[in-house]
Amino acid sequence: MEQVVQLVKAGKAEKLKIAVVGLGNVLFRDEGLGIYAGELLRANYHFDPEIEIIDGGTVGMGLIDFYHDFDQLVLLDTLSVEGEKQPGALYQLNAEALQGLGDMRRTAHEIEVLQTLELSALTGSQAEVEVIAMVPQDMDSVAFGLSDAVREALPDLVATCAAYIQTLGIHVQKRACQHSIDKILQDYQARSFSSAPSL
Amino acid sequence: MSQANTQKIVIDPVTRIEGHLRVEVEVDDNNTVTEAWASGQLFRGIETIIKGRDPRDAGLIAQRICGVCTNVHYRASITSVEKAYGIEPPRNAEIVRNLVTLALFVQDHIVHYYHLHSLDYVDVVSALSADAAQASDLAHSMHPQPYNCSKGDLEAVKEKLTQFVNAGRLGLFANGYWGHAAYKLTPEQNLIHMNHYLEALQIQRELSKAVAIFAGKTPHPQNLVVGGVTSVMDMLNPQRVNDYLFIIKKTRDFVKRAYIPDCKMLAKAYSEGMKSGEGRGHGNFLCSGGYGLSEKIPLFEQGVIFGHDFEKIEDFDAFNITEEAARSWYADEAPTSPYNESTEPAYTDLNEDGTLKTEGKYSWVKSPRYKGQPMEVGPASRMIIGYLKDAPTIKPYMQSFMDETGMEIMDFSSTLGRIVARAVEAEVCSDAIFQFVSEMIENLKYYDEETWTKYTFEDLPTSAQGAGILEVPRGTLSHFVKIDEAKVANYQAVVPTTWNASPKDAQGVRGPYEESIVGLKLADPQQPLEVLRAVHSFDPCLACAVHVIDAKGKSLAEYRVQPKTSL
Repeated sequence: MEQVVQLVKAGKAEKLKIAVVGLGNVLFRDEGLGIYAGELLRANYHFDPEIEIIDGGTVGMGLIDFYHDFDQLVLLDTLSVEGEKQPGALYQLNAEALQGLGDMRRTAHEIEVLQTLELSALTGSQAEVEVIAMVPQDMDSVAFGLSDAVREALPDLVATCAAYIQTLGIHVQKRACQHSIDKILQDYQARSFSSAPSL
Repeated sequence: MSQANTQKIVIDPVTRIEGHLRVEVEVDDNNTVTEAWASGQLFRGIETIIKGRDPRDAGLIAQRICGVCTNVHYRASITSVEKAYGIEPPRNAEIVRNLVTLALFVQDHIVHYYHLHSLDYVDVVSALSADAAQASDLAHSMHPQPYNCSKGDLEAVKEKLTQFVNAGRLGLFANGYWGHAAYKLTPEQNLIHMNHYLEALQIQRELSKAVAIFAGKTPHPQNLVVGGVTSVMDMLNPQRVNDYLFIIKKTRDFVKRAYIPDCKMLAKAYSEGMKSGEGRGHGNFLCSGGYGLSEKIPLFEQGVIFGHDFEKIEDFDAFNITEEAARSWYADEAPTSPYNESTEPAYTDLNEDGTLKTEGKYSWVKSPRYKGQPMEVGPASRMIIGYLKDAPTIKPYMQSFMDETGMEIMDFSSTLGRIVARAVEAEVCSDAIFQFVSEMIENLKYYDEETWTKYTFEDLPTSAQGAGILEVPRGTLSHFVKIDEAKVANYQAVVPTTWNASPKDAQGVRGPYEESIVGLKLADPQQPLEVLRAVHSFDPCLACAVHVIDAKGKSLAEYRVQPKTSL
């Protein structure tokens, strides 16, 4: 981790392997917010040098690979916080702040962010992990799309992510042509869920 | 409660995410479980979102039912549509599909055992006081070439664990029932296990790469189509096939030199509970068979056993599967063929004190039944049936394990039996992969490069129905599709955990989790480790696809970001 910081200070950010990983499941409305945020970031911002923006889905144990493949990771996700009732509330925190929550005893098979963060320490990963996450409103409906609260707040998440990437020494610029959230949602569905030519 | 001495224990959550899988048990004054209720607490009516779509697209949505089991849902869904239309994929496509699924078997089993379940049996804290030299000797007594178990290896692991604990990185191991009377391994045995726990983290990463060779690296694979596979170039590229084999060799080595000996160690240390039938269910086992090595020899023998009647194995027929919802939160209660089921919710909530309404509906999981009976599915069912039917692919592995541990076939019908059956199955699958690869290479040699069965969608019948029934790591998975006017008219997935975690039915017959819990004697009702072990031994996957960073228990107010529009 110190290495990462030093590289940034020395202006050698181009040597860092940086990835933004959107996480979640788009079948359950707001649970897909991290994925859509990643897509918005890709569509609406230009990064120099380029960074990887990945649709991570609900990759579980596979997150450990990301911790090894990159020096700096930004995870976009949903978050549930004690006492926080406001859907769309935005949090940005270093993964260190989440340490100690990845209790495995009660886990059946839900290896997710917290568990993999703990496990990655055991596998010797050196990645610096930043989490930018939003409190969802509705993850129970089986439906594509986002609740109004999350839809309204999502640009803040994306802007926060862009601002953070800039602090890593990457030149970040808004693109001239901006995609709306609706367009992002439509494109994502069309791309992901139809293989066959329409009848 | 009528008896004054009955005590109710609520185990919630059994899974990490609050309320996902809840188990409530009643214990008598001897701390023996007298009744149990297993409840899935989340509605996942994914079937509704597939209705009305082009049948060829169903697999792309169905694969997202679960982030862990993506590839198997994808395959079962594609298969259901192929069955509906009577399209048979070419042999090479079948082999490529098998190479993906069988690598997943090995990966899932390793991860389940070491990372999700072993700490129910392995005491991390105890491992810190092990003598590395003694542990190394012990490992060599279990296997002539144990996996990375020199004295130096084990000392290094002990040091690493100690550092981890001293640095306060205890999250992973926090809240274990360390020191519980039901932990029976010696410090040295615990250390060997923890060593392989760490090694398994690397091994499972390797297996992800193997899967990616034929299924792609993306979490949302697109390698399957109705009629075949799209990963043609990978199949024909000797370098890629070689990369795949290299990984499988390495992981097979781990299975044979670490996973199997560790499970033998466990079977011996915990044999008392196993012999007394701890965690034994109804004795109803089901396996749909499949993964033919040739037309005559399947990897898994199909069959159905009722009530531990090992003399009589019936043929499996999917026609006998029904689902009912007498005790589940759905409107249509009567036993129905999955083709015609509805998924209309009828939630009746919990009691005011947050406990289950145990007299009525209490779960989002339905009750699948075979000929009206609950069925246990998974590695134990497959290994028991394969053994009893003298499957050449299974029996020798089972026999060798049984000879060395003193196990009998009945012992596999228990908490520990399920665990070790999974290890035997990992070995079976590791070896079978090599046979499939050889066959594929032979086919390619003779220019059989077919990977897709041609058809014209417009010429297919507009109405059809089919089932994709597939053995997958956790058990029998089936996707049922009904097609009308060339669109999906109805869709139903009966997943392995639906079978195993099923609630009671209209007759009050318990589901497999429930039946396996009843009769357990708890050393300490405040720490119901025995119940967790029984449930975990089924490899539950209820939280499919649910996903949130649950930071409850930590104050994160300082990290709240105020909206700004700087960039």
